[in-house]
Amino acid sequence: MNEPLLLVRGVRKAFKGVQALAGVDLEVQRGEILGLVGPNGSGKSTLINVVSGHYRSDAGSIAFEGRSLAGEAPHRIARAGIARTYQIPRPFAHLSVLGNVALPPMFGQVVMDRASAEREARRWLEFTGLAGKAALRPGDLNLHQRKFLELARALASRPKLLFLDEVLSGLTPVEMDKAIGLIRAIREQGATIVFVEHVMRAVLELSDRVVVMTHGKNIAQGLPRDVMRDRAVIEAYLGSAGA
Amino acid sequence: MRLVAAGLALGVVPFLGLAAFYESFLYLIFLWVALATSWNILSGYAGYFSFGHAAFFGAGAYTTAVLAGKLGWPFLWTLPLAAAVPALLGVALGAVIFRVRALRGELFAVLTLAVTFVVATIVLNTPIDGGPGVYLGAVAIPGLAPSPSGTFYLLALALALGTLWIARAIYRSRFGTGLFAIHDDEEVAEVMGVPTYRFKLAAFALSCALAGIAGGIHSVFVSYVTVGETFSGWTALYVILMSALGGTRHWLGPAIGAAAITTLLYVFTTSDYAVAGRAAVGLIFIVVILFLPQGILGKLARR
Repeated sequence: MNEPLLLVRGVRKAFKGVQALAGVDLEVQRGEILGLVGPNGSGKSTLINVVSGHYRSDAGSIAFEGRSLAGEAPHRIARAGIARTYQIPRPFAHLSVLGNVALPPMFGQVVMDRASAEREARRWLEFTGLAGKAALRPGDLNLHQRKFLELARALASRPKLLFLDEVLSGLTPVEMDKAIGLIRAIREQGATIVFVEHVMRAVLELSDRVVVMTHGKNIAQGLPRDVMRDRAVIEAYLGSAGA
Repeated sequence: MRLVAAGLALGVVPFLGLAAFYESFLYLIFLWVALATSWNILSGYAGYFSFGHAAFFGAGAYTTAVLAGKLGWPFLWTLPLAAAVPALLGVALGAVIFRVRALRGELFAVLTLAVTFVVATIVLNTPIDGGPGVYLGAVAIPGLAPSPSGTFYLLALALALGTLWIARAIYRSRFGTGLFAIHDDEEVAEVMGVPTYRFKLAAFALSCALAGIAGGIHSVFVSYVTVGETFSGWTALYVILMSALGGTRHWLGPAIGAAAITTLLYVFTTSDYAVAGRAAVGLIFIVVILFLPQGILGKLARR
């Protein structure tokens, strides 16, 4: 097997005594779509926050393209080619939709001037169907459009590795079809995707591989359909039989 | 280009032989334009509301007061240091404050206000001032214009235009975009690749340096500096009000607010109703907060 794009080994993170991550191991291969699933509070979002540098891990190692990310500031991790979306969209409220999407390319792996960044941003607005909203403020968008804005903004820096934190939840079936198509198209363009999702249909349709987390640990991994039949996984979600 | 044209047009005023009164009035406007615009670079763009602008204005004023008034340096030579001393003070403060996530919002405001008192106390109780104030009456004023008031006019004009030029350059640059993103959501800005710590530090240093030059020029203009006047709480309040009135999200906003408020105060102080002037300022503050939260320019042009 090739060197993984992202290699997480034994990462631990505690908040005031609560062990959010209790030794997570994760390998992400170049070009794959990895589904990260698990019950609420299992540490999926914390893992994203640790890899993107927002939280510093207490123990363990994280390597991206063979380079350690431990202790790196988030902006340097972004510059290395990792991007993320937020479960609850967090646009820059006073920047236009275009301004929001043009920001990451101005601070990404290749620093762009404003004009090229805006050209790039328009491409991604087009891609996510927001081209007509470029001049609006994020506050003028509805929730679904804000989710697509979140996606466009993460894509605009052309990340090598993209974390999608529940971008699909809350979408209608039609919107979800569109979003699933978009995520596939993103991969076609060469990005590697790790997505956290509760919507099982999307997990089954999109993932090349699934990793299941519970209580801050990864407990199973494999092909989507196999993993979903795994006994430990079913117990993690539904509680153990007879309990 | 328009800034240069404005500079050239305004630059001939001292040579027209107007009464010193006009030059001094315009001097005050330029001084406040520089102060409000410099404040806005960190506090408006990046949203770190500072109540401590008087500390940096004062640090610059006392740098010039000591060097020119006590040590006999030529006035203009003191100005680079009047910029450097407050800038270093800002960097030292920022290096601590900007690392701590909790010190955003109100706490930053309170902390910078406290810095004003600390700096004022140090100046008052050390040989920098020691209590009686510093006289600068003997400082030679360079003959840039036919009269001393004309010289101060030109210095303040240059500073105001220079500050506006810097504020505009930042506004249009990647640096400015980063600061505006910090204003809205600092964590997300950082995750999107904005080096937030470095940007805040640079904005603070610039803001402090420009306020310091204003202080240095003003100390010689008033020719007698005291701790009470120099570190007055009004300075911080005025620059905040001026910026809020004009609009903090545009480079020109604070200048518009500064011109309006300075004119208003001047009208009141030259009449018999100086106290009414401050009351009017308070009233404007309330009106701006209630009805013009984006300021005049924010109302006119959304960015």
